[in-house]
Amino acid sequence: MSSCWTAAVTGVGQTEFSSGSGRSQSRLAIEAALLAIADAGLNPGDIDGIIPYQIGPPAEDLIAMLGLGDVRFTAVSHLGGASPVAGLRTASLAIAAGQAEAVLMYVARNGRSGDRVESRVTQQVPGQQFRHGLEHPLGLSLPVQTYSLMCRRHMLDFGTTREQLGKVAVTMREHALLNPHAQMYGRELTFEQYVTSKPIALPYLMFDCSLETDGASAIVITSAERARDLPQPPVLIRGVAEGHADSADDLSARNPIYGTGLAKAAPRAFREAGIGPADVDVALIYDCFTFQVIQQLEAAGFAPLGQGGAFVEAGEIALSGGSLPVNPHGGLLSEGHLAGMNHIVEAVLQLRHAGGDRQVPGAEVAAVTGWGDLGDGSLAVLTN
Amino acid sequence: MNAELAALDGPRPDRRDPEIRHFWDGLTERELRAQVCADCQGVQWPPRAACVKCQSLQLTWHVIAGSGTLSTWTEVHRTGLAGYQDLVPYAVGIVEIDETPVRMVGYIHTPDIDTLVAGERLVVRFAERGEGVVLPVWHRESEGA
Repeated sequence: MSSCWTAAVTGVGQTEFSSGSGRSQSRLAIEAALLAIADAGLNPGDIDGIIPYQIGPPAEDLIAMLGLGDVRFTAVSHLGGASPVAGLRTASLAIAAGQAEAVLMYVARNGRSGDRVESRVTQQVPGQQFRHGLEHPLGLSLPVQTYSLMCRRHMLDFGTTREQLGKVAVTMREHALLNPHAQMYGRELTFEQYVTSKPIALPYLMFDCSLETDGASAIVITSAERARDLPQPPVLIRGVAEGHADSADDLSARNPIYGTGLAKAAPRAFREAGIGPADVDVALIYDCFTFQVIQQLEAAGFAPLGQGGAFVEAGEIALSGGSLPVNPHGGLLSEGHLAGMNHIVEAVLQLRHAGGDRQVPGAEVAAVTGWGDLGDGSLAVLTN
Repeated sequence: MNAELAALDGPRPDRRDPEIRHFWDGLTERELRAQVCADCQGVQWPPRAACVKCQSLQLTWHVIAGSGTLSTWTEVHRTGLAGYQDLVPYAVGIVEIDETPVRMVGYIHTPDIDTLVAGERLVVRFAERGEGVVLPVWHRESEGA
């Protein structure tokens, strides 16, 4: 263990992912939390730290429902979809500093049947004065629109193609077909279906966009030392970092516009872990949209700048035959959008070798990325 | 010209915002304005409470060119913005302003979105929306703007 504060993920739990849960977000959160706590071999009363997602049920809801008498640590990362990965570090630091012994993290949402994911994102991104004063009056408002601006510029600069974007979507769906938990399990997606799907914000088509999902994902983190006495094989948090893109709260001044905080975070996380991108057996990439996979493959150091598209096109991200299987669960594009907490859960299952039909054989090192807001980035290196 | 945006019943800017209101005030004078630092003379966009280069709080506003080039754009087919729902599909993108290092979000007026190309020349026109709001609208030089 390279880090003096190594902690471990000792429990994971998820509800089903659907387009209509029929339950409240608090109910979803408590279901996933109870599953994760039981998976960790702990009792609810053992939880003394809580890191909720910035949107959804707050820590107090879980403190009340779990009947916790004295939670002594809570924190929230305001990094949008980069928050769950960044939360791994917050939890690790709290445990190393003696501020908590067992930390619960969760994302719970009715992203499809309740407020859509996109509407909440629009209200929570930084630089609200720019959004309301300089973008909304001119017709720009949704993440799918702003992220497509990045995608097009990357296509112009490097020749990234429609076929490469489609390959991301189709590969994620192929993976989801191996995952009974995926929202799109049993629903094939061909390139023909992809390329003829309705335009949303070109270059983005409908199947370039992630799913809006009802459900919850939760994990439990303890010290690595304590994890050794718990029932599941521990998954060690070896390095975690966050980074912020230049012009962190506005895209218009960012040049190139596809710059991201992940390019700063990834080297920090890998250095801390003493592990490099070439050592990674399975990658969980925050696939809010297809191009954001290509963008992060480059930013994290898995492919050189400008060659992420070719990397995808060559089949490198596929479970079948790829050198870097990405999102065996199907990702946000085809498993469901739980803000990447489901990516952490999947990394843990892969490192436990509990991935079923989608298991990456012999996986020992996983990298998980987070992407949030206007380009906040985070990366965690996990090992078994 | 710009009848479509003149009739737009879309989101209005907050004219009380201490920084951004200067931009909208300029538009009512048919000018594009950007923020300039009185200490280091740096031009910055978007406008902020401090200079991002030297952290000076002494910020002023200068008129910038009403022309530029297209850096990137998206063709919007779906929007939650009132008014703009009647305009889909439309183009909105990033315009690199001539003669000054400013890149700003711009609505691009064209009947032929499919033929937009990166680097093409754009010229700003102004669309009066009533109640003191004037929108900047970018037209293509190739379409006789």
